Amino acid sequence: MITIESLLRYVPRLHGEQGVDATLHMLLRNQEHLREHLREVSCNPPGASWARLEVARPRTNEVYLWDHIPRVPPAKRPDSVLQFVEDDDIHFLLIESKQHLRDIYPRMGTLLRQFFTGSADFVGILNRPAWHRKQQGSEEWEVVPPDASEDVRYWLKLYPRSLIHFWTAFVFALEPEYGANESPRMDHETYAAMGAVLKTASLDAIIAVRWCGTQHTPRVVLVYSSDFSMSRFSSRLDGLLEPAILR
Amino acid sequence: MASGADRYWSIQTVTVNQCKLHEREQCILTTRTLVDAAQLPHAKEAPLDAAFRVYGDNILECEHYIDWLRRDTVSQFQLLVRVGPWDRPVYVFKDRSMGKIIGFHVCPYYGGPGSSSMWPSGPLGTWSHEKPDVVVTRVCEDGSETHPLLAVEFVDAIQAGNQGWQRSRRPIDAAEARPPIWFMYVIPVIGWERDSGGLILKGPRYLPAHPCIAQLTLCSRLGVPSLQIYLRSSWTAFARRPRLAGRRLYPLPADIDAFRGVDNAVILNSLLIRSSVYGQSAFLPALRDTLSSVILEMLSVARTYAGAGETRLPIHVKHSALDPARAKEVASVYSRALIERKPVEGEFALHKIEADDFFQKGCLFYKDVKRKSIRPEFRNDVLSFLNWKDSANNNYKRRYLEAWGIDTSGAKALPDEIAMAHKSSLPVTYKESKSEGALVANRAALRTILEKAYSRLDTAVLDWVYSQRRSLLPPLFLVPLYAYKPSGDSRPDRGLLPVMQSTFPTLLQKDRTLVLVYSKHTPPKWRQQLNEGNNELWNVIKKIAGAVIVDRTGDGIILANGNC
Repeated sequence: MITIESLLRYVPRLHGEQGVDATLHMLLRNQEHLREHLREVSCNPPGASWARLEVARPRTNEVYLWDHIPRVPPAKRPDSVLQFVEDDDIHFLLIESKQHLRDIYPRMGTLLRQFFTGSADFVGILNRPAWHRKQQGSEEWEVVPPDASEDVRYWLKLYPRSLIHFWTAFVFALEPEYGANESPRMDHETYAAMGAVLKTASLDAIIAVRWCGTQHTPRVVLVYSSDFSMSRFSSRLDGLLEPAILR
Repeated sequence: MASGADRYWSIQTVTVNQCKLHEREQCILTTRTLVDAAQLPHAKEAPLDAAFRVYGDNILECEHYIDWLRRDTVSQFQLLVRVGPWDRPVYVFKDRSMGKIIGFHVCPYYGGPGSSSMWPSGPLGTWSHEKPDVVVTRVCEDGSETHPLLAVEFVDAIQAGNQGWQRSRRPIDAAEARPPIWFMYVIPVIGWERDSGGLILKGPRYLPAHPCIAQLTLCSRLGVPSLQIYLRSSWTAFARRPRLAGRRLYPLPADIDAFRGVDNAVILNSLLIRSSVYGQSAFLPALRDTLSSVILEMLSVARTYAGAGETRLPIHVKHSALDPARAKEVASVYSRALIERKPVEGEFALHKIEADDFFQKGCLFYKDVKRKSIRPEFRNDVLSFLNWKDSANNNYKRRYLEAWGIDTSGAKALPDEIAMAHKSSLPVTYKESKSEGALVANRAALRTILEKAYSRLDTAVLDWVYSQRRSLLPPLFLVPLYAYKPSGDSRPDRGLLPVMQSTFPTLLQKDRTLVLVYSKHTPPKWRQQLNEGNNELWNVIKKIAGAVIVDRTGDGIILANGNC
């Protein structure tokens, strides 16, 4: 007889960056009660070609779509983007994920922000027209035609910059990425290393994932900057990660 | 067993919160145990009547597949619960129509190059050269897994030009696997190109007819479902806007509003799962009806885009299988063949296109080559004898004709008229405007062209192309292959040969297929790559071609089993 438990004993040899991305994506996808305030703008794990960003427009019931955004270095396309929607402010969390902590690279936060704000040869998302929109909860996108009003096509460009906030995060798999203990305690050195990187890399959050126990259950550890930890976005992020957070 | 299923899947959660400060940063630490099998009442005994594994290129692709099942009004599968680690859960469904409880274990991220897998029972084995977005296997009672039932490719946007070749390898691999694997290629009907800044709409991007016809031909040859599933996107409605259409109408399949698209995929997938669990016989009528509906949509797309613009395919447009008046008859014949796993026979058999079809319905060959990517000698000494150019001057045309043994010196007729009169002596092809491969009946003339262009070329290769000692040589299929971009990347060209072979299986047989690699970026040590067997481009050439010539080095080789 096949049981759920027997299925779940089948685990991969390695989780890596894919496992990190899958954990974040599924935490949001499967906690529907969080979606009123926390939205997944994009998710682009390795091997994916889904270069699309869906941004909710405050004070409306509309979601706009930017798609087919080219990769133009040095701007870095985030592996994942979350949007925190509350009142008129738009908060984005731009997430880069890698297999190892050492994969962090210089100016990561700046390069991630450039995907939205633009760089020398790249028109950032903020300055691009949206080509599709839909009502929240609907499956039916409609094209925003070139003759639509500027207020529709370029609403994000026209949105007061003082109300658009970017936060940046790095997510990685701990080494070793797997531990047999179902509920290990995280050691002080790991926090110290994450805290040090947080400061030197000028990021707002660092999240680490380790897979634990017989079913390789993903558990996360996180460190926030003081600014971010005081934001309401951080408590929403806590809510998102809470089912997987490791003590 | 199924009637008591619901009681197993109640959920317990435990939440513990703890906060502490770490230096100047705030570390917020919270633990909540996951909803997993260990915390479900009687979890160890919780039985599943059947289980499948859904392997994916990444988590998004796996979720697309699960979404098909979750369309419960169409799939007739009711989601009971998701159990297990966040990144690799088991979705437990109840089959509403038959009552059994079926688990789908999501296994994202194959990982690794080639067919290597992060999973102990990797589903790719030796049948796949690439990684389809999703592969579904069944889990056996002893924990082992079956050969895959289904592979799916989800495409967000129509790819430009020859980019589509790259993915065409995947349906071929699935259809040729033993046992064969159902394949579904899910793609929008139409997209829209924008400028690099994303600011301006440039023009529509249509579905290319060739990959669709290649898949229909796989169905025809092997009796294995290799299907395209069409998404109606927002661009479909946009293409019909009178203000934008203006002077020009954007071609869409005439019956697009009747397309069932993803509903067909959901139904077929459900029937495939049920066939695996309960046996196929009860589902044959529904399978055949749904396959017929999918084939009808593929025929409509093939007909629409094989007859339009630069991708016009005259041999296929004139083929009985694409006759609009007989579409339902064709779909019925194909769906029956797919159910019976037998090749299509008779006039609708797309896999039986022969050389005579090329000579009678095809057109003169022209290959578009970027000047900066080749040696000038290749253009002058080789390509100008292969390429017929309507717009070229008479000197060019007379030189071309004479290379193929057609005397134009005393003729009063114009070169164009002479060319048409001697079409079967010239390189002919299946695609108007820019094409990729030519059928060459006059192999003696081709030998002379190659002999003059490549003084170092081995006599054995020349003899393979033509030798007086070999009588009744069949027409040779010549594929000039760019193969290497300046970066050294061989994508997407490494997908071209499999597409060509799956489209014209009777013509691209190994003993009569010649590949001419012409990029000036081809590695000089190409023989080493060919011999090592680690390079997909050269592996494909070795598998399909009987001989290869490399322009950059001016030499070539007969490939194993080339029947020299």
